[in-house]
Amino acid sequence: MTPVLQLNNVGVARADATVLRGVSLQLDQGQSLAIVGCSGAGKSTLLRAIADLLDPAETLAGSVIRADTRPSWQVIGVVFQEPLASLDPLWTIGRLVAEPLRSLGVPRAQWHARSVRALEIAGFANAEHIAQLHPHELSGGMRQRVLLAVALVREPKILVLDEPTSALDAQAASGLLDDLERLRRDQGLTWIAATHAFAVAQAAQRVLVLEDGRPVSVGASADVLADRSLPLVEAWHARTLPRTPPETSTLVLEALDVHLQHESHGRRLQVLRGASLQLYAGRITALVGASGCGKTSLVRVLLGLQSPSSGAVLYRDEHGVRHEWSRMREADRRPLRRAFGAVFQDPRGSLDPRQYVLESICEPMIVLDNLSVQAALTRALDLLRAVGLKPVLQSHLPHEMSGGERARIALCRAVAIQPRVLVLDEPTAALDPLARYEFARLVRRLVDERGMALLLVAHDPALVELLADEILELKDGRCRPLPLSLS
Amino acid sequence: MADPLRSLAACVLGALLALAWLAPLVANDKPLWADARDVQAAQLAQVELGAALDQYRTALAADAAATQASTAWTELERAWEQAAARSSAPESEVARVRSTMTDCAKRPERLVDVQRLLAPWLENLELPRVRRMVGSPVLASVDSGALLRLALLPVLACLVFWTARGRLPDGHRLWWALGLAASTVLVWVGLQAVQQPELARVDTYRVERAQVHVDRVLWPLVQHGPAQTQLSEAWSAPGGYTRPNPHWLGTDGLGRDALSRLLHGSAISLEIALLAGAVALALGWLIGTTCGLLGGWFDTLCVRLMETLASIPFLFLAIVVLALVRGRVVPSVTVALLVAAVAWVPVARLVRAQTLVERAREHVQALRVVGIPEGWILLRHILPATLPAAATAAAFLAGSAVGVEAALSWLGLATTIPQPTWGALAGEAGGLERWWLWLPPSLLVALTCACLLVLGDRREEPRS
Repeated sequence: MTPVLQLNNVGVARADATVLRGVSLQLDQGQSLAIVGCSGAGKSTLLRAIADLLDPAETLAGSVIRADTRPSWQVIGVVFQEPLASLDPLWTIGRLVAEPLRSLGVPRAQWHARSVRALEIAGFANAEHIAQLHPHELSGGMRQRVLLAVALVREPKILVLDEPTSALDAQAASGLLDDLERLRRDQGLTWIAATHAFAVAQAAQRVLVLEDGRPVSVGASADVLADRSLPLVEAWHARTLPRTPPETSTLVLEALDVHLQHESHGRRLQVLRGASLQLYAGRITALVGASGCGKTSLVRVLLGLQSPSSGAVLYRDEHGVRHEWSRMREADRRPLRRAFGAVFQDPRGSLDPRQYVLESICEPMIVLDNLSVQAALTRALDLLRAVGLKPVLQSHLPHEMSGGERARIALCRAVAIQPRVLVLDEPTAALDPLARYEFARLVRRLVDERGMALLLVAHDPALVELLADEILELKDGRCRPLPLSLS
Repeated sequence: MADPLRSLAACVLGALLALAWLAPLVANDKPLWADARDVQAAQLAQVELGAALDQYRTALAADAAATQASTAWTELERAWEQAAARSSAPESEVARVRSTMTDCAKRPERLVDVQRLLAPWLENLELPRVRRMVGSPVLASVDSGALLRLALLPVLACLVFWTARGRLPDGHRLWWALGLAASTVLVWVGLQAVQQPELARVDTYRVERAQVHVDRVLWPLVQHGPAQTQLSEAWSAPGGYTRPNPHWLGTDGLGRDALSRLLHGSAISLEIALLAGAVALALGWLIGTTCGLLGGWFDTLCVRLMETLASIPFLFLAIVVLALVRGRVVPSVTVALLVAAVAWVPVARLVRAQTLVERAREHVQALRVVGIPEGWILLRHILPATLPAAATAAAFLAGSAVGVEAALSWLGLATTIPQPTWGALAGEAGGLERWWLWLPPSLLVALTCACLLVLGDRREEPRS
């Protein structure tokens, strides 16, 4: 069988750095390849090199040889990452799918038929109906399939996908992977996907692992994914972390029968209906639940940013004195607040974009603990070292750092004033698996060392499983315990 | 690094303002520096001395009351001091005469001595006997406002430099600010100290009529003052008149030099724009953040007030207010405040919205959770975050303030008559055919607006 695509020692360089080097592989017709690696490893750059979409500022070394010698845009279909941003909201799906045909010179009369067929191939049962709709009427998974149809309408031999499942839930992702597998089998389509998702790597026949722009491993999917010496694979497989449970567990924060209702435009929305939970020192409690179930509202109530409609939150300070946390006046609450800390969802949003990182970490220490600038700096540098960040980063602004680094900085800042209660709200939502794994190890270590009570709010089952000592599910406004293993 | 277009805009605007502030030194009917003798003043002093001596003699001859003679003596002494100040007599000679005069005071019998003593002072005046005055007639004639503008030039240069570079100096900004302020005060005081009032008499008019004799002189580039009229040359077009002092941009209906008036008028127009922008920024920023932070009835009240203000047609409002305050306040400040009083509304709206966004941001929430005081959060996180948007809006408003001032001046509402501004100058053309009067100020209005818009068009800081 002849290779449809052959890469000989491919490298990509920009003016300031080499982003990719020494990638060689060949793909036969009907083979599938997953390119995996951390953020910034060069996955998307390799995809762009294959699809001949490099920026003018990037120079290609080595050679990309295709069996089909027509221009690359006729041979290769591309599916980009953002399913909503890639679709014009004013066009119907049928027109969006047919759009590439214009450049191929296909007569307009055939457009409708071909776009409907592409939609059918992409896995829509009622393609005729779908073609009449607009993008906003479809779910995320369906939009991703529409993009697939857009790529397939020209009947390419090779399909290139960038993070095809990152915006999809587990069910939609497995549906998409089934479709890809079917296309590969039935139509001999060769697909290449860049991904951090384990499921995609498993579905592909071959896997290429990139690290810092270099290929570190390539081979059959089952072989590569069994090689635990690769950090990324280890992070995928990790299920538990070593933990040292505290001898005695003291109750720190307790929510009792909390009700909360939002009122907007005369409509009442009951968010919490008697939610109760206890946070113990040195324990990690995970709070899971579907989007919009009230997790964030509960967190706001626990942190004293919002008062519950009824019920109470009780806080025990270091001397064991009980405070009616949710019913105190803000002025009385403020001196107690320094025992609390929070890291919110978006690691970009939880740091002031104008503040240098070191300044961000020092600020609470200087304002709340009245530390001198010198003492605060010393402590901040110790912390940075403790979370494994390079000292260069201290003088960076948040946007100059990667998501993992930002998450660690936000954590640093929260633990700098030695809180007794720490809330992490989706701290790893934007991280790749390796960064998430590292972050989880760091959190575990900090909790074990400092004995704080930690509430972890997360969607990500892998993270919850890694960290949680106790899992609570928030459903219908109430918390109920779940077994420790989610899967 | 800094955007080249922004740098260019900052430099052009800075150069315009510097030229406007330097206008007294660039276009004036007084020399920048002169070594001169005020012949007319010396002659006048001599005549007065003669008259005083005559009067003293008459008073003694009439043998009138002692009081009358002593008044005449005081007059004589004063007139002699005047003459001494205008003469080039050496200090020792003056001292000798003064002591003899003191001896002779109120002693009528020594009238002859006095007459003999003053005889040389009453002889025919020759040029070498007139005292020399060396210094700057321009500086002697400008008011303290113009001196302050000159003293502010280094501050302007620093601002332009920083804006063109795209960032403020690193570290010790307070020291920079204090140093600049101190140097301004020093320069201002120094300039006032070197002012010599008698030099203000050295100008083209008196030099041409030989009332003042100049030995050495340095004239400014444009040798016409903004208020210097020359009716014989009214309405002359540029290039139509070539003599030692040509009118580069022609003259208006009173024969005043258009270029000189343009340069002097720029200062007022630009200052109105910048002052209006600054006041609108301060007011809008303050009210916007307060609304955003407090919310509730105060917010509602302010928003309604803003909507009401925004619904009144601006020129109509301006005409009514200017008619009411006319002549009571310095007009250029009034116009600036008037523009600012309406222009703060969009700034406040923008800042209010930005404050609402910023206070809901997660990093602000995280600070609130750990109990950082609200005041600190406001000062260190919310205010700096809203500044770029507010400053952008204010720069746009300053640009439009130039246009508004021009419109009001053109209507004759904004400034008092002899004071030139761009709008007033364009209005004085009185007809499209005199293009040399309306075209240059209009071009400057357009250029200033364009520069302010470019400066205001600030891209958000990179965040991802």
